Amino acid sequence: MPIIEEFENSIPLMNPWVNNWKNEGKKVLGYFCSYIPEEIFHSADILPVRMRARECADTPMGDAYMTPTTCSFTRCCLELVNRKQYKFLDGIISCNSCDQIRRLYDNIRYKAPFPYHYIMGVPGNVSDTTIDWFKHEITKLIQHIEQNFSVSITDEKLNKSIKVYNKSRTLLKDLYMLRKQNNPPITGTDVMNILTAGTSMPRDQFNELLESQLTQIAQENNSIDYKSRIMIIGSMLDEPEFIEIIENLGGLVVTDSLCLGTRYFWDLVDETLDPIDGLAKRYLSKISCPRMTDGHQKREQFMMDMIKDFNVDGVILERMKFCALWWPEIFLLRNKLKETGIPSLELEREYILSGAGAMKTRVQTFIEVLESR
Amino acid sequence: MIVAGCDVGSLTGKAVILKDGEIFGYSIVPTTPKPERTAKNAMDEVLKKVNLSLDDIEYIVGTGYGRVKIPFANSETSELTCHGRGAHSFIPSIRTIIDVGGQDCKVIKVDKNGKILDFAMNDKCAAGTGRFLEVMAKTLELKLEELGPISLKAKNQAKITAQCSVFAETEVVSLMADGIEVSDIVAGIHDAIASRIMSLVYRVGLEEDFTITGGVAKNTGVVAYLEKRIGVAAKNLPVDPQIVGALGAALIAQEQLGT
Amino acid sequence: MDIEKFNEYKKLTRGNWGKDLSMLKMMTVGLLNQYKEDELTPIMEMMLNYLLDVPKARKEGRKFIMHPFNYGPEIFYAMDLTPLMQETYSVGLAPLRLNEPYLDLTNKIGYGDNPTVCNAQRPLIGSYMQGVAPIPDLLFFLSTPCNSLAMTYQVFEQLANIPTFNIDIPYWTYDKVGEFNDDQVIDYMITQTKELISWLEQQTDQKLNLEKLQETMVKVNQARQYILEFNELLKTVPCPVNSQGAFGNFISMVGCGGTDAAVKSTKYLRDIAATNVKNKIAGVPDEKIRIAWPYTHIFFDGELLTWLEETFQAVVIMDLLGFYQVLPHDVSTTEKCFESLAKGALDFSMIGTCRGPIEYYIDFLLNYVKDYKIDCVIMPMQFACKHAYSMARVSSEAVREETDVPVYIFGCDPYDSREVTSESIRGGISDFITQVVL
Repeated sequence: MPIIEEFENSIPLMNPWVNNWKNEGKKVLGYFCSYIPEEIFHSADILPVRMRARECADTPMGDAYMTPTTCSFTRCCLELVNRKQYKFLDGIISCNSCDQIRRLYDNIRYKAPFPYHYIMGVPGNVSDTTIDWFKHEITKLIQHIEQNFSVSITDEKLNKSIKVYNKSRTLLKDLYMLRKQNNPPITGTDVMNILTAGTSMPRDQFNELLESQLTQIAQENNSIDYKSRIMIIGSMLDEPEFIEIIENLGGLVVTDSLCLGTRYFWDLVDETLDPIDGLAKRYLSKISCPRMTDGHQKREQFMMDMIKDFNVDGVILERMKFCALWWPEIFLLRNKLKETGIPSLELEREYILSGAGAMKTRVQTFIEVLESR
Repeated sequence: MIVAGCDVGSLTGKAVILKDGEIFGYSIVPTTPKPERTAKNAMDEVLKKVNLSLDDIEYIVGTGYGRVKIPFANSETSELTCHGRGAHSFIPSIRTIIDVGGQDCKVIKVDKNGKILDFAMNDKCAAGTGRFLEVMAKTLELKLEELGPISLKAKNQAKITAQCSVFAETEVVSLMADGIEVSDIVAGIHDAIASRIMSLVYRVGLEEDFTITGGVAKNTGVVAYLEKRIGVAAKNLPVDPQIVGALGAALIAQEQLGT
Repeated sequence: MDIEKFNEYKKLTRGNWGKDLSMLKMMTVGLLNQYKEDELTPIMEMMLNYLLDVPKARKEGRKFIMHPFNYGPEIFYAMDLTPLMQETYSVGLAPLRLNEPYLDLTNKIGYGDNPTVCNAQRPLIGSYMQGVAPIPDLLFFLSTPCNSLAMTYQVFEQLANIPTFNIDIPYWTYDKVGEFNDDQVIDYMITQTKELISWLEQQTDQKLNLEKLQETMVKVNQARQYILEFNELLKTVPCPVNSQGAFGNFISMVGCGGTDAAVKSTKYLRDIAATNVKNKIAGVPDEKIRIAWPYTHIFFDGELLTWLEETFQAVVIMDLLGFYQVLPHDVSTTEKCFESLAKGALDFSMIGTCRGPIEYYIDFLLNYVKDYKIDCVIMPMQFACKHAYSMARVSSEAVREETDVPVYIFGCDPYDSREVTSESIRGGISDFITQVVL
């Protein structure tokens, strides 16, 4: 079932939506992490675009400045920034998600700067104290945007934006719920395409398209055949081809814990709170990635709940080579999966998908293992 | 019932024909740049040996890295699954298979029925594969098949510390220049390969009985050094270890026909 | 030092420390064997006592807490806890070449590989699995300077099931200068410090002894004062101490900050430096080259610094950790104490320079190069240390632009002698010095 064409067209970072936005004289900012509250930009009528670098083929400059033994996502981003492929951005917003992202921000500022940069500090654990601090950081970010873009971000505007984003989150959750079915109506590849498209287009229009998409799915009443139901756990995966390889071998991806996946939308902002309170609370205590030092038990529980609710047969744990957050996390998750007898496959990858043959052999064998159970 | 399995690997292509469950014939041919051609060469050779034609074969399963390109295969299965089944079919007590091929190395754990439980692969690095031995043979100006027996003659095994086979080559050259005994150097090389293979074994965990398959299994030195590290002797398969993958594919072909 | 005391130490290490303390035993013996009997300086004595305190605490029923290398132990001493800085092993075992088997074991159980997770913490997991790591009663760590530290401590927490507390270090600084300051940073740190104390009180069933804390901090300040004077004296040409000097200060403050031993050893170093400056004695005779070393020492190669001194008459002024620059503060009131603790946590070696934007590091490096009249910079970056290695090139460019001083960056592993060997390191440094510097 083909997804709505507009989604396909919105996947590249420079797409018709971004073009139109710029033609209207409005600003576009690139951001790096799902811990940055997008609602702030929305309320300032700035388009936030999630930084991706899928067009990057090699990274000589990235290697020279960030060393070849670092995360290839950050090296690819640095490379493309240096090659002026993101000229259309009016600036970048980053946060201290992890060491590599921090240093990417520094390298960009020194070697290939944008007209505007900001980095926010996101606390590394969740408590009343750290949520308070995060409120302070959010306030600082708002002030910085107001000063630099001559806008006024009022509570009222924030509340409106929160509603829009909460709607998005609810719609995405509805989409995911369809995948619980015995024969889901949509593949993981298509879902990844939709998610990725959402990160580079205006949120309001995304919501409209997603509603149409959901209607279309209901009408077409598709049901997909497969050999096994797979959950993918990992980090910055924005490569539908990766998921396609798994699904072509019969492993239908029915759910995930990914930066662009459930971790992006699963939790809503509490609209009964003041907007900055609501944002701080939601963004800091949402389903976490391993950067949150006190979140492992919750992440493990989330994984187990997903496996149960979505009837998952096997888990694929993917990590970027050299990622110091995910390999220890996978070490801990691996023990839990072994304990509970849930089959898992660990894949190490580079951001630029290569060696598909090797990946296919592993995935195919894994699915053959699942089939024979 | 006549079935066949065809394994298109990176250095060789193999084909095995099973007649009523017994090995009727097999072939090992050098690889060509086109997997279709390698598969055809392997198949043609074994068919000629047993005086059959392609039409006589009722079901063919393809495997190996070139498995999707085999035109006459009815289906394809991953080479790990095939290796697991193939090795287990001979010695049902086998639970771990260490497959050291030309360009990759795999460790496969199977259950009592020969079905895969877990696996680990190294296909990114030449250290621990047949390629490493080839490079070393060339550097030492020896024949590949001489390496194993020479390594077992060593009195004072040299230490090869480089993790990368490219740097190991440099290390070997300087050891030769220092006048170290060739057998000692070769022993060092074999121990280094055994060490790389062991790191893969640890990822899966060794369960006895185990066996070693793949082209490198014919190297008595690698086998000896591996067994030394594991502490237990490997079970020897009564067939050429290189054909285990194709054999497993043929067994799966047999099953597919049966259903 | 006197023979009797030395023999006493030797006897103690042969005692039965129980299975979970044998690593400390190995380190103590290693430390003792490396020093000639009459050269047991106050620093060595302090280290030995520090390590021996752990089995002593066990015997006396006191709790012991493990913490990382970038947080001072003042609060722990004030709460009658015995602190152990975790990185003491990987650093202490490195010259004995004992990290390698624990790293291999850590790889074997599937926890990371080179160069994904830092090797300063990984031997802990391997040694824990083998049953030789000291198991603390409490575990404490910070979210900075890097992910490796936070993750390895979490893994240890989960494997050994130890009550753990974590402080989040903010990205910003409290310095008014520059664009990265934030007034509220100190308050945030003070709140968290108080939370740490509450947690410790719960865990130990004791109340914080404020008087003891103040006493401890007075001693910290005394030591800090000596260190600042020492750092000032190092600016003299020729440098009054050799390359081993500054690291001793770091160990004093991280391991034993707040104890009499720390005051004694920091004074000892300051006195040597002051005397030598007065008498115009150089730490390295005929000093020709002054090297800035803005990362950690190559721990597994105990002779590297001596080789540099003997071969090139080159002195390494300070390494990154040894460049301890925390200012003494007002401890007159309780609130001022907490403020001091908060600032200390933010400014500690490697936290101060590496937790935030690269400007903190570049500022430090440029001031280091200018104030200490540096001739060349050598940056031995750990492959797995993402936050440091990824800023090496930009920092070196800043140095070249502003000062024209040559910089040599190379990748290595300070804990594992097999990754990049001593020969290779010396070869590279030789080439750099002979072809670029001289």
